Amino acid sequence: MKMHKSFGWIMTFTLFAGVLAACSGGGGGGEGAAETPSAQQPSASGGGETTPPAGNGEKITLSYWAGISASQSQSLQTFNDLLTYQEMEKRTGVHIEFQHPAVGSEKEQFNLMIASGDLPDMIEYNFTAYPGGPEKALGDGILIELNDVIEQHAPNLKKYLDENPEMKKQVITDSGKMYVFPSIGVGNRGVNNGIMIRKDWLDDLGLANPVTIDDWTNVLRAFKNEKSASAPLTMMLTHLLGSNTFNSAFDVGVDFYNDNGTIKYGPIEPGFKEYLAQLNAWYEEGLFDPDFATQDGAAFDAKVINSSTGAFFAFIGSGMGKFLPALAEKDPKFTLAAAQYPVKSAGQEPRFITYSHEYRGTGSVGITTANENVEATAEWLDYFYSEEGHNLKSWGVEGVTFNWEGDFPRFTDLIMKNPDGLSIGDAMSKYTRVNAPAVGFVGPDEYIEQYYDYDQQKEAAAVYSQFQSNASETRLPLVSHTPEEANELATIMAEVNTFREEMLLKFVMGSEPIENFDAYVEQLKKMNIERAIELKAAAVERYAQR
Amino acid sequence: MMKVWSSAIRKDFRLHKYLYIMIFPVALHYLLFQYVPMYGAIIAFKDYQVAKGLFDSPWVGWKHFVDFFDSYYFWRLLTNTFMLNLYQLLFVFPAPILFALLLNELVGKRFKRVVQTVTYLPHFISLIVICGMITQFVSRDGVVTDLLVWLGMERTALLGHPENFRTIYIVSDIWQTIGWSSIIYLAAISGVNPELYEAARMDGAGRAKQMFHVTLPGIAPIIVILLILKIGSMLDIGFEKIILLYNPNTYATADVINTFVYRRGLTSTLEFSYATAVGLFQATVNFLMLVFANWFSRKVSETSLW
Repeated sequence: MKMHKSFGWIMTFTLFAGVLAACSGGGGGGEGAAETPSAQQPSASGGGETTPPAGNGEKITLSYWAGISASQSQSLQTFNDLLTYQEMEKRTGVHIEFQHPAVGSEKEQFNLMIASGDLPDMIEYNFTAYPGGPEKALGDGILIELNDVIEQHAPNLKKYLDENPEMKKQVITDSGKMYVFPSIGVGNRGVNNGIMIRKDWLDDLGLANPVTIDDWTNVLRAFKNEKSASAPLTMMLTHLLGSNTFNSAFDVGVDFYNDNGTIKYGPIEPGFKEYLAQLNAWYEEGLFDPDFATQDGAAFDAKVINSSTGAFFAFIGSGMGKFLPALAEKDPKFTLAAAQYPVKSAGQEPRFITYSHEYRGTGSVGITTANENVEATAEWLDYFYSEEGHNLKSWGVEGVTFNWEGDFPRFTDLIMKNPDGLSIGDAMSKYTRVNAPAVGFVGPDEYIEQYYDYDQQKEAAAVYSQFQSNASETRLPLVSHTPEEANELATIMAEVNTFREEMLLKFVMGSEPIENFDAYVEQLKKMNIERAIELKAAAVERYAQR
Repeated sequence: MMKVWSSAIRKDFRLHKYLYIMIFPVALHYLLFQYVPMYGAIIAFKDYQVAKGLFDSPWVGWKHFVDFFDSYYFWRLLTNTFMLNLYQLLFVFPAPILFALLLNELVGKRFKRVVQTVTYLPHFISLIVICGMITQFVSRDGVVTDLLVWLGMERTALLGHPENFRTIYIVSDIWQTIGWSSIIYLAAISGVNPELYEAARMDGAGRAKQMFHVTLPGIAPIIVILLILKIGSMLDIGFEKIILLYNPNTYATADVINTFVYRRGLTSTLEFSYATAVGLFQATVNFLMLVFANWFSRKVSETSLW
């Protein structure tokens, strides 16, 4: 009896504490770097063949490993619940058993799966990020080489690649091997992220949308003093480390980049010193969020919504699309605008802008060596490159999720004004596979036009994409390394990344004076960063010769 | 000799048949799941490649060990790992002992039980939630920060500074484990012969004296055993908690061997051999420390593991 009593107490307290934590916690706002579309590729919908594959009345079950993004996981638990795949099963007779890793630890779980050798039939993963590169994935006996398979069993994809040799160059390895059914970006509005700014504040204060670093300093000061923003500019650490933001003003990349034919590593370039010095100056003055290094997605979102900040890094779709309605409730005047990628002095053009390659590593599907139905799998995957398959994947089922308006697939209210109160993006991911990279064509214009429901979003896309062509010169192509190179590179970068992240924070937060930048560069050189640059350059060279 | 031994076993088996039957599954478990997998440790000396498998991967000798010892971060990792463990030994280890002793002195049964229950709680909460709570508490406007600001500290996110990491880690560790770990000591205390207390009281010992001269010696063997075990894992540290709490800014004090290997082995590359080599290194050091601690304890006290 006594035992029961205390047990009850324990349970009550535990639950209570759990509930508390759940309320205050909240997941990180994971945003795939390749969330939306890009690229100069004309809107394309594969080849001519439209008969569904493998539908000889014979039931096949295939297993399919795929990550679910944080935003998708809000509206569904498994892709088996997706309208698109349910309809696929009706049309093809192929049943898919989806296996999903836990949200946020896809990479670890992928690595564990590889190590265990227990493979599903298909894996959806960014194999350009496979440890050792795609060639190694083939050599390790994880994936099968697809050249012959595509030749014989994937007419739609084959036709597309034959017609688009530039694209083909991206999806093969240096030695010409195909290793996945690629996720191919189409559509014309490329850049989907950047710095956003409180337009209503700018208007209030009579300030123009900032372009140069000096403009920015003025604007941020005004935000701090006149609008009492506690963090006039904010970011999460991942934004600072992995995306182009203010570094564009100092003409330096955050990672490896191509400077007129020379491969460079941004964090050791002189421009990076200036960039860090500027961030440090803002940090010291209280213009740059003092908590940027420790905050998670929930804290970041809260700052935007409760007007603690006036400028921040975000995605047009998942960021702006979330903040606009959330803030409109609190303050009808509230509005956001995209700030162009900054430059140092007026008249310059930014060269560093984050946008995805046409070939999205993410969302591409490889067939594993464990697969006993390679033909059927290839045909099933190839269906997404046909017009019918593309429509099913992107828009769902006619009459349910979309209707044809002439040539234009118009989403129904089930998506646009979801009865369950889902946002457009969440509703899209509940019924279709259009708003995250997936095998087939991603990011068509018709999707962007509907996904970017607000005028501000459409403007933002235009503002960010303005200098897109500059960025395609500095950005490295999706190179692949030989397994030996990849191993060496990984060993070097493991230490380099730790050191770089740590020092970047120290420089920005002032615990390491910026004068020590040269010593920091020296240290990175001791860690063999120059060898890493050589390896990258060699890979870029080989890519050019594909 | 051999014969004597085997006949002795046979005799013993006849005598304690059921004990032997009962120990069998346990022994089997250890053999199958603890000893057999050890052959996998050979990949520490190989360049393990998934495709080639355990036996066909090429031998590389001590390469991975040398790589690790040569790493820029080796000394920092070693220091951080050791420091966290040392602090645990100094603060986290004695906390439940002290707690159990004090709890034992409480008179009100009801109150005692409430205190116990409350202190158990964190043990039952998932580590992820615990770390979420810690992060909240020490964030710029968390409760702990508020308290410290009230005491005169400047407002800042506590986890943003490397010098705070160890304190946060250790204090939260105490909070997490104090109640649960005290159970074993409470059990030991209840095993102390009541006659000893009576005798002490007769001799005029007050409560404090009873505690120091009866209770504490009574549970000393347990303390020593647990201490030896703790010392035997000085190079291990629960890295999940660190991963959930650290950020590049606190690497200077927070990055330990396990987290470094995790970042290197599981998030960037598939360096299983490297990770195994490091694991083997840790295990070796741990083993030596265990043997040493045991030897030392046998010398100075009468308690030891073997």
